[in-house]
Amino acid sequence: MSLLAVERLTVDVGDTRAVADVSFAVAQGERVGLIGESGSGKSMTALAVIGLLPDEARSSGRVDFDGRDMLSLQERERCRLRGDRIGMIFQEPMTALNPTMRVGRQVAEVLELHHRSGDVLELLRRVEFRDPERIAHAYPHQLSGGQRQRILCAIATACSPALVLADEPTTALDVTVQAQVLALLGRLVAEEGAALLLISHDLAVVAGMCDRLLVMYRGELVEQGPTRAVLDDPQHPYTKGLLATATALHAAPRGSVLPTVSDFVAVA
Amino acid sequence: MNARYLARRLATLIATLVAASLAVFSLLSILPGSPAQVILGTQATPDAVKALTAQLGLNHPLWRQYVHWIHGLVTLDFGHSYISQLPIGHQIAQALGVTGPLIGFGLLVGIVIAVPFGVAAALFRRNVAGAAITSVSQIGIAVPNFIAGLLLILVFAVKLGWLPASGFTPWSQNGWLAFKSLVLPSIALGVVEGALLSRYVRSAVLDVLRSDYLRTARAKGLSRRQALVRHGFRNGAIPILTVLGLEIPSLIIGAVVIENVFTLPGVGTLLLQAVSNRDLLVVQDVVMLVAVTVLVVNFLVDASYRLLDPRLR
Amino acid sequence: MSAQAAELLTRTERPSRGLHASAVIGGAIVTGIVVLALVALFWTPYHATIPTDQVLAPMSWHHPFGTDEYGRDVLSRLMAGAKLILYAGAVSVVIAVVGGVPIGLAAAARGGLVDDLLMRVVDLVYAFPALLAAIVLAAAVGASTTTAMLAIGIASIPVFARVSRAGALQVLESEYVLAARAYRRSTAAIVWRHVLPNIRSLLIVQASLLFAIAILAEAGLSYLGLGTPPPAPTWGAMVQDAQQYLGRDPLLVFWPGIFIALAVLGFNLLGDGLRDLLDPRLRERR
Repeated sequence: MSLLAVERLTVDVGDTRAVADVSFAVAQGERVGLIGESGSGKSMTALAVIGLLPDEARSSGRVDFDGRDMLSLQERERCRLRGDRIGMIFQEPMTALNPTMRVGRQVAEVLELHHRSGDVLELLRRVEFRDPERIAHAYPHQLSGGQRQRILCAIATACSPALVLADEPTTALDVTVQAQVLALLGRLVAEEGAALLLISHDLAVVAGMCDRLLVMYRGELVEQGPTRAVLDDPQHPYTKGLLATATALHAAPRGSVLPTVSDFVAVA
Repeated sequence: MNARYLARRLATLIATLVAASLAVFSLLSILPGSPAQVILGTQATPDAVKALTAQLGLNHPLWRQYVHWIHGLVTLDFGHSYISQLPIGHQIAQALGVTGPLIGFGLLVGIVIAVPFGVAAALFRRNVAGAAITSVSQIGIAVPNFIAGLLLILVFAVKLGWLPASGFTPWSQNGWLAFKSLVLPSIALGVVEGALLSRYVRSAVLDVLRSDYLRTARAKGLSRRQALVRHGFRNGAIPILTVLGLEIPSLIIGAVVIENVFTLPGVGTLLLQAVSNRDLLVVQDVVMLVAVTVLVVNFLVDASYRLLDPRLR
Repeated sequence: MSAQAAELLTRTERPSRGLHASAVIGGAIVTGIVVLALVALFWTPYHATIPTDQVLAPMSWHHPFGTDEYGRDVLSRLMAGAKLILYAGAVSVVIAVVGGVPIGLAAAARGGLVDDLLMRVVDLVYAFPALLAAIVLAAAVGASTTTAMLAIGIASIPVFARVSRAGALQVLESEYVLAARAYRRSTAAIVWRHVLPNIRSLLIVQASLLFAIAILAEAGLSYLGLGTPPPAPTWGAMVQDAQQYLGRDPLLVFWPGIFIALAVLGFNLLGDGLRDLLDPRLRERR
């Protein structure tokens, strides 16, 4: 039985269909990458999995986590799962932490909430902080983006969740820090034996870390399969376009016109 | 926030106070006519006028008069009124016994109205209730406070007779009556402020609701309410306190008007009477008092929200 | 509401979706009042300041709003009052804009010591509420429309100074201004061609909101007798005059009150609506 089984998920926000009939599964400990451009519906999918869809969103289908449907579960039950069995890391580390609360408190909060014993300093050491006491005592604005994202990784994995969702965790970071945070994420997930759903628009990011890839385009899941298979032998025109444009810069002969996705797929 | 910043702000405060006092003093000194003449009347002999002028210290060069005045203010010696000969300090103290509580209760009323309405307006923003609240607050902002006061008088004093329409019984005489005479004025003062403040409360709550840190809090497993209370409160309080501080001068000014509506013997009435009687020293002293209060309050509010927001320290 | 609070509102309140209605309703109300004032320039049903013997008459066909304690037709007085209040509001706003915008632009363009100095002066004025200034002026030179408008206008200069400075700084630090500088355009030219068009919307919104404040302030001042002296039919003075008849003829008090509230509401809604309509464009330009 998969840890996570999404069946025919559809999410409408106002007049827009953000997610259209998406189905996929994630097994225990598996690392799955979800690629797509902005507006493809990948973030909405993640929000549906963790049960944090905006109020005005209407959803249908099933999001089966550990045998229970997140969409029809009581909010109280979802609160128990969030932070404890499912952890999520969002894109903007600069604004994701409460600016008026010390960092240590914010990490401790998730432990207290789910009645876990755990040492905040230990958790901070686990995300590669060499002086956790100073960090715990600090306020978010005293830390860099990369440091804040590491804290958010600590929070997301504090209770040893079975599934970690990471929505563009490195997009807002400097290139030099991106690699560090990704490596950290990979290590944490491996240590916990947790499954990972890594969302990104950046092929390089997901290709390096994930066993399987899901490709979303305009709300639909257009392709899925093992990473190597998708990269070497894409089936859907959009995937082909994505791959072509990603590698084009290195391969293109001088003076030629670079390909775009619209060469492969009709773009509105 | 450190000692250096505080010292700088203090220096600015003092400089502003000095500038304000200079402005007030110069404006009122350029007036034609002599106060001694006014006091003694048209029958007075020139010698008598000269003598009184000297006695009042008004024949000194202007800068000396200014220094004398400032010195008096700092030592809390407000001088005596040219017209009534009464000690001004005493008059001011009595008036403060009315205006102080009025502003205090008014502020309380304002907060009590603003917070629930503002929060509700934010939480219900997508349906009719939210729109209704926002509309009501728009109307509340537009109504002048003296109209609100007169409306309250009409309903509660004239028609229902529950509360007095005007006048004030001193605290020392009858505390309960004194309080009763401040109820309607405080509500009039506070309701309009409350309508305005509720917009800011709404704005602050919305900012919190849309924030990323709230989303993180929920991702940890906090319920909506828990997240809002634990993380939203302090963050939301900061802009609200900022506005509160900015509006206190408005409250003071509003009190001047309200005192007129309800015929309360407060600082505002004192000031307006002095203006119409051309009792200049009283005007000078009271205006400076108000200016000092406004500036000091601004300073304190600035300091306090810098204390609250760790990013500004 | 203080001018400071209005400025903060412009900067912090996020537009919500229902605000297109705001602009329309506000615009309609303001237009109505302007029309009333314009008509009053040429004609009112009766003379606004000449008493008749129909004292405290109720609403009727002849006198749609009744008459006051001197027998003067209330409708005519309300119309004349519209003239006065729009005039006072307009002059105050003009003073504030003409005084504040150049200061703000100069501070932003020069920067450094000039900026510091100008803003300190601005802060000083900022701390002085308009009513206080009006009272001092009234004590010094006697109350009049001029003192009221001067007091309100000068007290509102800081708002425009701050808003235009902030807007100008945003534009001056943007990339296409850097490009303009690379072409050796003078600062004055840059301010004229790039800064002003961009902060125009900001200023319009602020002006509308300030007009509302000016109306409220003027009403309060004339209520206290610190504005245009009698027998001028300012709405605030009308309230003061009618106050003694509150029990007998409450509408005499509340008609001018309603009109004041309506005028303030109109300009507020207009300002809010304009901010919503113009805001997305502002954002795009930044």
